[in-house]
Amino acid sequence: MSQNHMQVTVEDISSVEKKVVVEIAADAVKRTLVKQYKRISKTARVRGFRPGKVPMGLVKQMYRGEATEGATRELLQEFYPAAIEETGLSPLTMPEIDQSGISEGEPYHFTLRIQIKPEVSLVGLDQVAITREDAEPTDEELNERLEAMRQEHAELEGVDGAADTGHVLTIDYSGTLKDAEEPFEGGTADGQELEIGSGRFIPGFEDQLIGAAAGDSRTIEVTFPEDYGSEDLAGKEAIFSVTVQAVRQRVVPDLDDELAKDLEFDDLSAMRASVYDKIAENKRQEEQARLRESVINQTLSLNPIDTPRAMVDASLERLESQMRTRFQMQGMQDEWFSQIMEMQRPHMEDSAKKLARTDLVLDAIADEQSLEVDQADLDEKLSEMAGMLQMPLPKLRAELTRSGRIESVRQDMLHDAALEWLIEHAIENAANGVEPYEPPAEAGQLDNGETEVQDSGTPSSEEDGESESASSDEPAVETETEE
Amino acid sequence: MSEYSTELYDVLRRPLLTEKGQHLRDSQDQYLFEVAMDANKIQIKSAVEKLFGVRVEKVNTLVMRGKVKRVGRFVGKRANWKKAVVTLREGDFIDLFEGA
Repeated sequence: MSQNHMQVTVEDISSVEKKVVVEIAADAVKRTLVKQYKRISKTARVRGFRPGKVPMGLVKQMYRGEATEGATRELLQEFYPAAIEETGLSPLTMPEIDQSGISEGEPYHFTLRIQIKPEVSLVGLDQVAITREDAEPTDEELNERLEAMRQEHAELEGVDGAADTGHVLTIDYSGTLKDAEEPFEGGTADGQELEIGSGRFIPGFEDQLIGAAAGDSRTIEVTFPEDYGSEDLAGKEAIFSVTVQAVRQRVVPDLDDELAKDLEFDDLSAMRASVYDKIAENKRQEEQARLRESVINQTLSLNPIDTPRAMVDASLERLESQMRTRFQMQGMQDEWFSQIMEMQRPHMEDSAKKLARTDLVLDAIADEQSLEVDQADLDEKLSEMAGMLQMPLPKLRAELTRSGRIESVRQDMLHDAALEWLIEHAIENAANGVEPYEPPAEAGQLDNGETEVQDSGTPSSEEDGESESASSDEPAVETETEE
Repeated sequence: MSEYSTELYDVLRRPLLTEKGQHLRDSQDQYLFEVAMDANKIQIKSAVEKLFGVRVEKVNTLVMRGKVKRVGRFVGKRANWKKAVVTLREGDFIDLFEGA
């Protein structure tokens, strides 16, 4: 019956926002108001009357505000779903409601601003192309990594005789400014380690220790540089008396079975193989991130889509909670985090917009290709998450189902599948001779800067790739932090 | 307050809204007011006629005795006040709930 009492008009604001004006007939308004007054009169306490015996006129006079409020709520409750149904729109968030005052005998208006997902029909998917690059580590990369491991495990060994560049000295020192009696503050230390040639001390200091042996004492004259950090010392001459306790040098272990065993490998070839695999895995992941980033960027430049504010906000929230989790793991206090967020928020806007657009694109692909996540896939993903969170599977499942996050897990998996499809599609296109899509120069008018991020080498694309891959874990992490 | 107050609101303090009053109103065109202790029936009649634009048939008054109230060991008495029962000419009425 509500349809008879209601008139709904829809106006387009943009492809992602609609204005819906709802008019509710006067008799429906009156009916609701009367109902409210009756409800109130049952319990209203007025001096001179027993509860329930107060005359209606007095109730109307005394409880107009309460009744109006209640009637407004009731009318919205009754007509809002019907109005939405009549428009056929599916709002992303609780719409903004703008309402006129309610009064008996007059129709009641309210206006809804509804944000909806835009209709996305993707174009130019055949112009998206990319080639997967070889992810096998080169010998050079392998050797570089092995060498680095060797260097990391260098040990210090005592040296007889004079210190030279590269040696590590253990020294006690005490420094005095040239025209002062007492050592200056911070100019004294015992047992300090100093590698000659490292340049950690002021210029000249390390050089004057060359040739010293363990047990030697030396007096060193230096001048602090003009741009020295402490104003009291900058440009001043100082005398340090230094006692060398020990002279040692770095001994880098040979790359052999012994080193491998120290690092808990069976032997050198096992170590090589393991390092090789690790590099290969890294490169594969990087390559995958590059592919994702690139196909997404190409697709987004081909499809300028409006994003509803609600989706951008949701993405912002997602980014924020990711950052929060990351910072919390680093032990940062919430207070600092809030401050950082205040500064970062404007910069995150663009990333959030892009995330939202990416979601829309992936939704559209999943839809067009009729991709689906079946129960088996979902189960597999859940048990994977359970393992990661060290939470029993049934508990995790119950938790996610209760909070409704299980749908967002499914959604993420669907997006992953859509992304995989897009990558495969792009690789196929490239194999058929399609060149990767380059947006025209004036593409800057798209509200995003994504055109600049074409190759994977730039830091921003790496970051995005990371957040992309992290997003599938995010609902579970949130669940945990909420507890 | 002067002895013969002619100000209307000094005579009629307020309408008395009670269940009993409602019953009188509905059945006998009678309206209850709290009035000044020193107001007489003539003053009340003219005040009601001027204020509400109605014709008054008759006015009955009575003095309500204040209740004895105690707070702990202190005993006090509420002030006496005068109640007026105003009967209107048939067909006239007063809208006590204006605007509702």
